[in-house]
Amino acid sequence: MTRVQKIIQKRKVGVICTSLVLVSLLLILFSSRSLTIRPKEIGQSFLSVFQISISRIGSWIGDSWNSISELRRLQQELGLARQRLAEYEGLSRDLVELRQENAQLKEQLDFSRALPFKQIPAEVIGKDPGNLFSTIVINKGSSNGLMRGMPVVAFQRGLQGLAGKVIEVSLFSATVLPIFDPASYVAARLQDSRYDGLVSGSRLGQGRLTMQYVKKLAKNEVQYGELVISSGMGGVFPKGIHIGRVREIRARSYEASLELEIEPIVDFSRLEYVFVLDTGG
Amino acid sequence: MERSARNLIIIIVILAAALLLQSTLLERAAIKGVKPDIVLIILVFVSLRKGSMAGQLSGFISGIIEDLLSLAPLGFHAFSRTLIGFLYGLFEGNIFLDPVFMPLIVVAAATLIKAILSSLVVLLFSISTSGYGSWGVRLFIEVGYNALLSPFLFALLGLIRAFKPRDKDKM
Repeated sequence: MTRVQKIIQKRKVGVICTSLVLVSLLLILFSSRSLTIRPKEIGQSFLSVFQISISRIGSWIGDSWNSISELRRLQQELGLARQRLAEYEGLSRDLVELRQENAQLKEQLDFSRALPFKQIPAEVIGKDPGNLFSTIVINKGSSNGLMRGMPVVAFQRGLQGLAGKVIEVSLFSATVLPIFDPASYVAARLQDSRYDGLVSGSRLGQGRLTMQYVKKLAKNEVQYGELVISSGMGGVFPKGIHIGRVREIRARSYEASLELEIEPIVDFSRLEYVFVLDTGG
Repeated sequence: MERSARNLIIIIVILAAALLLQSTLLERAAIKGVKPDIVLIILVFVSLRKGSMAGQLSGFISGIIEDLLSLAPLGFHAFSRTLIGFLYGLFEGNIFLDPVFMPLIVVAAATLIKAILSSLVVLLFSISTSGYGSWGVRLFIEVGYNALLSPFLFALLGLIRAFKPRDKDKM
């Protein structure tokens, strides 16, 4: 046995620890998407089967547990619903007129072609296991026609809100980068004042968005609560999808542009179902 | 198969199951978007009971699995978990694990070490994260959450044969 072999044998634990740390660092170093996409895709395909199973079992247990209290609540709601029905009967007469008016307005504004994309519905089956990253895993993958870069939207509070974009696709699942991640950038526009900017996630915490590069001229025109929509520039996200509402306006004297804090339309803590848009790109 | 190798496989299977739980059901138990890191708690327990070799190997493998499930680059979690497994393994047999206080302390310290190591990698490799945000409230919620869970998990893990101290089966 050579001297080196003797040293290695004596310090086996330390040598293995150093090797594992070096392997980890090398993996991080070479983890650019093009190099690691294959092992990550294979691993995700395998692990998503377990994620789907655990998610379904959890939902089933949760649903059964809630069903008893749900029955009691339903009974109370039935009484209320009967009262409301009488009120709604009166309202329904007005609704027919409103529908006709709405159809005419839609025609005028050319809203009938607002979303000319195929929408693929998907269920959220998992999120990032750690607290440092913020991905969402959905139960549709390449077998359902999903591809990297596809925009993801969700319907909440009566609005269609932008949720993120698909960044990795395995056979039965896909990983979505939410818009509140600091690595996410969306070309955006203020709906009423029509100023452009760039919306990205904030490093300060989950659920916050920042709109940057808005002209200082906009300071007097931007309103609190104004809707922010995607501008369609850059070609990743289609035009006109709601992103959020202006919550704070920051105008620093040493900066050439405004910074707006945006509250997202989508409440990510309650996100269960999403729609992946097949924009044909 | 050798007993120690069989035990290591059981430990890794338990860690993988914990990771899958963390990415699915534990999302519902999140406080302000922060969920507990039960994988770290198990890793600390394994390392203190079985030593550096078992600690670093299970840390590395569970870290790689976590990287596959996460947006993190491959090796990100493997790096911190390997080092934590190795470091805590050095204290094998030297720390008296009482039912409450020691688990709280060792797990809180491990969460802080994980944050330091992760921040170091984030800085070195310019990785974009939405997590701790300059060591904000989220980190301290995680420290508290992990620490509070540790006495219960340690008690539960103590019942599993594969986690028995090494003097009964040498690794």
